[in-house]
Amino acid sequence: MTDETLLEIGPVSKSFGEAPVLREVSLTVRKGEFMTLLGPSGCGKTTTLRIIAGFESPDSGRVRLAGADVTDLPPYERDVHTVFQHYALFPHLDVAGNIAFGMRMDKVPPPEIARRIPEALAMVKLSGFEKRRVSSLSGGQMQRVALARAIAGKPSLLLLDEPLGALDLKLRKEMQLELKRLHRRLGFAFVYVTHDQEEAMTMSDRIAVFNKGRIEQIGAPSEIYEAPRTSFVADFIGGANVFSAKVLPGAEGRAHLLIEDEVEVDVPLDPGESLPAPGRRVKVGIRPERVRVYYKDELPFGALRLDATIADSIFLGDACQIYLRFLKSAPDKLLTALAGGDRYTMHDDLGVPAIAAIQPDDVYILEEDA
Amino acid sequence: MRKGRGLKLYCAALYAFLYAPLAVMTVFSFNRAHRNVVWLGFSLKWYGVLFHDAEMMRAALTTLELAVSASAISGALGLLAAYALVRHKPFPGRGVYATLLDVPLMIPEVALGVGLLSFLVRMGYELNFGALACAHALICLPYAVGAVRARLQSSGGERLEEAAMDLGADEWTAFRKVTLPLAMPAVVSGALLAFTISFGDFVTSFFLSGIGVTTLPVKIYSMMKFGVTPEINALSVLLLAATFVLLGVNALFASNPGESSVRA
Repeated sequence: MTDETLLEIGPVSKSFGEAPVLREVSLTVRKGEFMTLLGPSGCGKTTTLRIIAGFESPDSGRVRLAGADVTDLPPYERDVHTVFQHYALFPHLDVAGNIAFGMRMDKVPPPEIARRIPEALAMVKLSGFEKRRVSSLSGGQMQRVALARAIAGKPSLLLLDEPLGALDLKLRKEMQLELKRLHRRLGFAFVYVTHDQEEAMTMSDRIAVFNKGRIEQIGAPSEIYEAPRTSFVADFIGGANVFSAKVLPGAEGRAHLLIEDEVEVDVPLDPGESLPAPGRRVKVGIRPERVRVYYKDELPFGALRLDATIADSIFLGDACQIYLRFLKSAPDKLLTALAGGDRYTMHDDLGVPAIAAIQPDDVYILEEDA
Repeated sequence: MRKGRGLKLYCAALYAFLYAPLAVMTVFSFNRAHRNVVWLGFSLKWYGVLFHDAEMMRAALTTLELAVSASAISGALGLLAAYALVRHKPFPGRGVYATLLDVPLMIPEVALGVGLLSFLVRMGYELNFGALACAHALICLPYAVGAVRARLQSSGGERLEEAAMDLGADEWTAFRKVTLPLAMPAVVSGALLAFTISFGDFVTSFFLSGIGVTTLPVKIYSMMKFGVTPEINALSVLLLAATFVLLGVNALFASNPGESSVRA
């Protein structure tokens, strides 16, 4: 991966009728980068992809590809290919005909096309499928053919619109790894749209988290996971606990917070992080896997102790999700803890008293949502 | 068990109701007698008479040419109209335009015939083969549009055209390489339907047939003035047979979407 910019969009706005879909979205993708646009449905990620591909034109803002302004170019004049969510394979052509389509349009010489078809099929592990009819393929195979068709023309940028959405879980996991492997081998940039945060985490170099037509945060998966900037990102990535808190006067380099008007905690600030003014209300987040649950008094050193009762628990196989009731004033606001399956033995424990332990280090302060 | 038998009887009666007249007509076309009343034995002579009737042959040729022209015109126009209806961005009144294309199906053909006749006469057009072909195309158009429209709606063509454009095809190429091949079976099927409709049309042909342009149905009608002869029976059986053949071909097209393999 180089630092050279391949795609630059922004600040792009787009409305369908009265409804704004994108509000000043800016994004750059480097050469060879795997960039994921992540967000719930209706957040604008697919519209962004369609603007990059040329199927939609932005109301304002430009799209630059490899240094050239392509905003007003039709899709067929952009060096970009798309893997569509519903495959969009041509049913009147066989597999080879589908893969050859783009290369024929690009006037690639026939011997070269004939050479590249088996090559593309081998890359998606479908060698020997040249003469198969599209209608005879399974969903997973169709998706591989769609992928082969898009990469055979060697575009500088590959767009993928929730390509694994229609596949079952096992196949999806397999394809995630294969896509990542393929991305490394091919060397061209991928822009990948998904609403599945786990998928985004698994594959991406960087993730752009979309919400309501805006990008809330762009960063490496670890960055987004460890240091979410807004409560939306914190909640969307891994379902963090988000509570409201009031800033109290405190020591230098630390934030003294009153969470939900009940629990006081002294949170160390990161270097460079500014302390919100005392009296202001902020949001704080904590990851479920950072919340420890104990049944007897054996708190780790320095931990904040919350007396709680168990409201619910879900067995997940490799782990267990425990919902804790810890607020006297707001018993419906639950704290979610994620415990390793080995550490937590399931028993009928609804209403059982427990102790939740939180390290102040693990509490992070979030910006207001955009 | 009794219930089952009742249902079978009902079905038998229904199909008899539908097909008995045709069966009787077919049987009597092989009758040696000059009248349809008594059966005097099997004979093909009426078919012979038919094929040696020069006027009859000319009418058959006219009917055929007319059906070919009407199906070609309505097939081509139907494809374009259906494409526009399915693909055009929604605009106020789009539904009205779509309905207006179907309305000729519901208009009594007599009214249509009268309208066409007075229009052509007023505009000073000659009632010739061309005028009749256009009139037939008009009657057939809704069928052609309907067949192609259903196909375009179900084949997800817009997505496929987008995919083609994504892969470097301009609008016209995408239409030619993707939409057209996918719509073709429906175009052919619509054209075949148009063919049978034009082939059997009486009312419009009757109103608009000028001098020297006589179609088979019109010819049959003029012969009927002298009573139903076995020759008419024979002719009707041939028309019936032709229709069944066309329906068969149509069914073949409908079941096979015409996917063609492409050499790499």
